[in-house]
Amino acid sequence: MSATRRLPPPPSPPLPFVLPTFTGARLANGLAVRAARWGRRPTVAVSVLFPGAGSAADPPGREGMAEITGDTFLGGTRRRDARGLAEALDDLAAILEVSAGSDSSVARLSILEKDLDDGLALLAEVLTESTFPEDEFEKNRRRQIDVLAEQRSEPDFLARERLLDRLYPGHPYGRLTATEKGLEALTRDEIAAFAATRFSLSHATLILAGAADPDTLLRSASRAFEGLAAGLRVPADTVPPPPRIDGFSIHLVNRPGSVQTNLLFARPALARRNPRFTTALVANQSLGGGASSRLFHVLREERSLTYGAYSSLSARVAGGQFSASIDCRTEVTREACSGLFDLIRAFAAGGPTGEEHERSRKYLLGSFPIPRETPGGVAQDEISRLLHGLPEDEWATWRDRVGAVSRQEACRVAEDFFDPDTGILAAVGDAKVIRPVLESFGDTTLWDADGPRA
Amino acid sequence: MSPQRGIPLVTVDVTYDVGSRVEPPGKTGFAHLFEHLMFEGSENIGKGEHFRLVAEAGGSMNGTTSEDRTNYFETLPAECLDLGLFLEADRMRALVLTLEKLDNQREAVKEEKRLRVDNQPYAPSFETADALAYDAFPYKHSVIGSMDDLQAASLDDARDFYGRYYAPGNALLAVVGDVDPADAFRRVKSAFDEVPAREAPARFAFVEPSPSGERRERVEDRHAAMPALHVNFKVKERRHPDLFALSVVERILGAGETGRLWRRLVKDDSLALSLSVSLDERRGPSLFRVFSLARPGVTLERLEAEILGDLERFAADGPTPREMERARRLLLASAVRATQTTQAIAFLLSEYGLYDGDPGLFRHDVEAVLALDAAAVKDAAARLLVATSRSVVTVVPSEAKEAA
Repeated sequence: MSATRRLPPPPSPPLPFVLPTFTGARLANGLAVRAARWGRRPTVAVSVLFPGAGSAADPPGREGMAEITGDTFLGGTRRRDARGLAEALDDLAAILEVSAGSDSSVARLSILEKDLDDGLALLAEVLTESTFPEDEFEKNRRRQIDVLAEQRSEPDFLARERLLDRLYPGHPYGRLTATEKGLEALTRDEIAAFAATRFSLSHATLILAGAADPDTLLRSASRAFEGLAAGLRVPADTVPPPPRIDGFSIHLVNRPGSVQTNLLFARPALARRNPRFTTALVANQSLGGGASSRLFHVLREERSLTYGAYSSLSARVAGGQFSASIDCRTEVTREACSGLFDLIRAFAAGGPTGEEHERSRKYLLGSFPIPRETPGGVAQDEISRLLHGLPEDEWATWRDRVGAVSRQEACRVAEDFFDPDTGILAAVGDAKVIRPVLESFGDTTLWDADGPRA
Repeated sequence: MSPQRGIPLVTVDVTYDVGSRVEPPGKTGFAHLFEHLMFEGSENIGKGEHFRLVAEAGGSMNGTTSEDRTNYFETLPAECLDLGLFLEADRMRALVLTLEKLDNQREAVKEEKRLRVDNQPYAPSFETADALAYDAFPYKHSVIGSMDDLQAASLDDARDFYGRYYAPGNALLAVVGDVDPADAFRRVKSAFDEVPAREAPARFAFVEPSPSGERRERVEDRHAAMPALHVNFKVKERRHPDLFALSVVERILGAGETGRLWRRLVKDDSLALSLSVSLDERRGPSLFRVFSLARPGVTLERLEAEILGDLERFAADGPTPREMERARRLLLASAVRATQTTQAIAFLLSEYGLYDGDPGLFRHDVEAVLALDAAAVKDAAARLLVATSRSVVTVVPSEAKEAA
């Protein structure tokens, strides 16, 4: 470093980034529609949000219901079979999928702007005229069972599956995916009934973002959807609050021959609707949000223990969690584990430094436009706003709220929600080597890839 | 320079004409390891500071290494263009290399190899597939390299590599986003004027022998749950007319909901758990790849026969008019979807700019593919997807499972 070190150039005057405003309408059948003009290219991102149609609504013993229902929407409609539907989509170069999250299912259509009307007509057909043919259901169910067997060979899947299972025991959030048992038990009639009661237009919101003005988008939406039936009344059940976790425990999934140990810690934190969620995001950025954060800097750049160490917050409707992870070569499992927990513990006790806090605020403020560069990005904002019951101006005011977070508030939120003495550590690796190591950190239960160890 | 107004973001991308293909035996993985060192500080940037400065500006950044090139990029608020240019110019002009940094990033890269390759099902078999398909060393070895070679990399290697390949004349700068081109050019000039000219290396060239007959290899994979199959065909370099035709074959066989191979083997007949068709386009000989996981109870012999049978039928009958029309629509739609962000546009322009000297060739190539007729597509499949240029790797789960 030279004595006359040159300083990085300061920014020019900031340019405003103004989010699009969504225009709303409600069709006679109850379907809410939200539309905004956005994006640089002639394309439209269309989403239909079905709250309550996610995997948390899977009936006990039928784990995988929402997932297989979503897959089987493309199994055929009253007008065409599965192949006919596939051809119709590809003729439009459209991409359509119906995917289940935990609190909702979302149908997503990506379509060129010139084909919007045809694309919306096809989307409406899939959502209201699907016949869920027995053979297509059966194929999807069988394939998903085999997919699960494949996923159990991936360390990341095993860690996340075991973590959720122990963090939310007996709770609908405790499952990462379908289960073999649930899939075996499902029938075609059950998924058809699930679709009929959970995918009602009267309970859904259609979101369009793309290269046309909102009125044009709204007109196209009502042409495609307004004559359709409202659908059945959706059950007004809500997901119960997650169970309380006491203390700290370790759950080791044995994966013989692993050359790495994957460590994934999580503890209960904040639901998205909690007003302190934004404060927690700012705090998390200092601890483990990116390459300039404390975990990455110390564990990779200073101590050479890993390719990457991060922390994050994830929020669902009924609760949320704080997570942190590190992957390391088997031989340094002890150093990586103690390194990770020492840093989290210190952060929970002392919070970010003034410099870290400033950088985190600046990062979150400045990077706000990056994921919102595309129509799909702003549509996703609207989906999460609606799903979590956030106010209309949530995203318009988000940067003001981030900017106002003080270091003291970040310290308090870290103390309240990042303390690792409560929580679950899921570990995946070669148990014959790392079990004794992990046992020195806490009560360790051994699991196999497919469940409890006999 | 590509102005993209409306959203106040800018992507700064420097792509260097160096990839893993330049690595000789004994130095595998070095181009990528060196990419890591480029983030560790230069004359005016201390260790860790690159990450911090980009974060404070509200930017995202990264670098990637392929067989053919290495790129470095930041996406920043448009008013921070100068910062991106400063960071790139400083590390192009005066990177600071130390053994401590090398040792640190060596471990990070070894961990990356464990994470992405050694500890994942099927990932090692992709290295086997490339080693089998190619004869010449440049594409025969993997970008991530071998643990032994990573371990052996020295500080002198790093200094030599920087001196040889990181000359300004061996790089292309792309600026894409909410900028006024004249103003941005002035800023670029001011930032990069102080980077002294250095001798740029001669264009890398190598000779890959012509395909000489089918090759086969069987590998065991201790992490795989199901058997899998690679069927690869060695073909010409990117932008060769054969590749334009094969990009249509790729779509008709594998893209969308109707891609023939995927639709029949995965969806309709439930013989494969997954199947992908991809054209791995390189500056030298490229690969037309099919990779598939077998469903339980389906032997790899059966899966291979089904895949080869479908390829033969396609080569014999060619595409239907509707398939041709669909492939064209898919191509246009994917060109739209692939150019929605400043970063994606920067990547596209950089590769054409660096490899071909003309960033605008992207449009030309889309037009060239759209102009192809069914006969040309059929001819390409019949001529190129043949046993002579084929290499097949079968992946079998190894049986040994140990108790804890």
